[in-house]
Amino acid sequence: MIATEDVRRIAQLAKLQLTDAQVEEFQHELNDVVEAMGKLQQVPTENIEPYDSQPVSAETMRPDIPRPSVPAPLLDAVPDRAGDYIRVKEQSDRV
Amino acid sequence: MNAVDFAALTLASARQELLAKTCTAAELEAAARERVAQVDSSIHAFLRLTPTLSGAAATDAGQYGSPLAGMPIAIKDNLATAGVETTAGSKILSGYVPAEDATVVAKLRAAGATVIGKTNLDEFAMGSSTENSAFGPTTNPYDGTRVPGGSSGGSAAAVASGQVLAALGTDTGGSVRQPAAFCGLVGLKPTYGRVSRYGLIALTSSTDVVGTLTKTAADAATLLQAIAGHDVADATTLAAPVPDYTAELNTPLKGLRVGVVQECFGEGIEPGVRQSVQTAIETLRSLGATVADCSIPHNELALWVYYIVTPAEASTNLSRFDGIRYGATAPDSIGQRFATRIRATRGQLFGAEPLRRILLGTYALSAGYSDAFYTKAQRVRRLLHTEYLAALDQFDVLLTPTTPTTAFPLGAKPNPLSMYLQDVNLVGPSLVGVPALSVPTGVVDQLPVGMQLIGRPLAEAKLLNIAHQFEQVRGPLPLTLAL
Repeated sequence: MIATEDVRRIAQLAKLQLTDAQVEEFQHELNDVVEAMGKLQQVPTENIEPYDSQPVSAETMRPDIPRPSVPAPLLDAVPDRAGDYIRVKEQSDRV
Repeated sequence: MNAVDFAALTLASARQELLAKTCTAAELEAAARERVAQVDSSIHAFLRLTPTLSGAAATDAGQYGSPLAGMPIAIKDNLATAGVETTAGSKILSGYVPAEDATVVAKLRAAGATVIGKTNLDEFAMGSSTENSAFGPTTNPYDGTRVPGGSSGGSAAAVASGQVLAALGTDTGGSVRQPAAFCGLVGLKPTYGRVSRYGLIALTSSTDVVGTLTKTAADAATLLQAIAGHDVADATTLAAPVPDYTAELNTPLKGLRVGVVQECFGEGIEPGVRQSVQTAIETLRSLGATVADCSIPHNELALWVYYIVTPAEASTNLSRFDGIRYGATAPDSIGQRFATRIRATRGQLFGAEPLRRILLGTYALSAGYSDAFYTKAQRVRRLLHTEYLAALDQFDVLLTPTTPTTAFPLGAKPNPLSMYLQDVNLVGPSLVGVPALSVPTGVVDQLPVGMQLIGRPLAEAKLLNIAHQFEQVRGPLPLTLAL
């Protein structure tokens, strides 16, 4: 059972600011989904390795040769900048 | 040529017109844009159009060398387009203009296709109705009160309503196949790794695939041909050579072994859908296929595996959006402390479904829960992989209804679980990485029905062959656009 404090803790980990109403709503919805997922717990999987998506094979690796980076002005996309710098306030508070 | 003609064209028939010089690439582009101006205010398939460039005129000056030369095509808005805003249907990417084209977009441009615009989608491709777009829903061209499916609903609606000849979508757990079924189109999800994802805004990296939405299987073959293949910019692409996808279209189906997945014909399938798919099975039989029942015993659990794996990967992939480097930032948050600004931006600019999946994914990966949820899901996924490959060893192709119902009304799925159940037949092939295609079987109450064909890894040509042969017997769908 996921409590409202759990939702707040998860939101903190995921860097999401939620309203009290959202916390309530997501608590109910997450519990519904997690309950439905209980079906998975009934499947015996002791000797089954977790699935591993196709690993990258050596044949798909490209040679490690320097090449031009993206030429476009990426800094134009920055919402708040100072010259060629991205401007943010101090990062020292807990996230 | 006029707009009515354009809406009835396929990639193949438009190419015949071009080669016969009864129209030009510039006229095709103009006809597409005119059709968009006529019908899209009621459908809302497009989030924005690209500016008219000189590409079509240049194509007309050449030899129409590629089958896609001069073809008006739409791109789902989670694929990057250089110089054209790309939002993935989310406010958090409002104003984001990519510096480069996605590899698939660059390949289409290189083949001479004309990109008309960017299509609507559920935010970050999370959904099955396109109602989760931050920019308003798309409607079904065959009934304006119903959804087009999703998440590639804008791409499907744009093709079905004759605004473009074909479109790219993306399929993470059914997002090409389900809207194809709801809009009477062929939707192909290629094998995981067959098509580059460079420039695709990632949702679930272990299942995301770029796919095609077209009016016919032959058109799907043409479009896949242009986008498939290894990409040095995407290390997850497969090095296997790309075959000629049109070469097998006309191969007779005699001797084909079709496995009908029993778990996908249970309760919850609308009678009309069941009957339409059964009729299609009889058609395959009449074409010489051997049809037998088969079983994927854990298929019912695929949905729950998917709804752990996807949120887990999505919560990781979406952690990059912070409003610091690109995209939008929450009003008044600039100048606030770093962490406050990020939390405000993410909390306010992500819609409800991304927030829900980020929370669920973070929970499923958090200390103390990851073994019970994420690792458990990956073990069951291994079981599913084994079961699918065993069934595909016994049969050439597996068959299911694409969706349990035809297109449902807007607002009909009020809670997340009921929406997730839409994808019950579609997430299995995504989780195990095999190719799958939806082809229309018929029409029930003026709405299209689709069946899903699931193939062995890299067997796209076989799926296209079956769909093409089936189309020849099925004939045109008795559908009327509600425009």
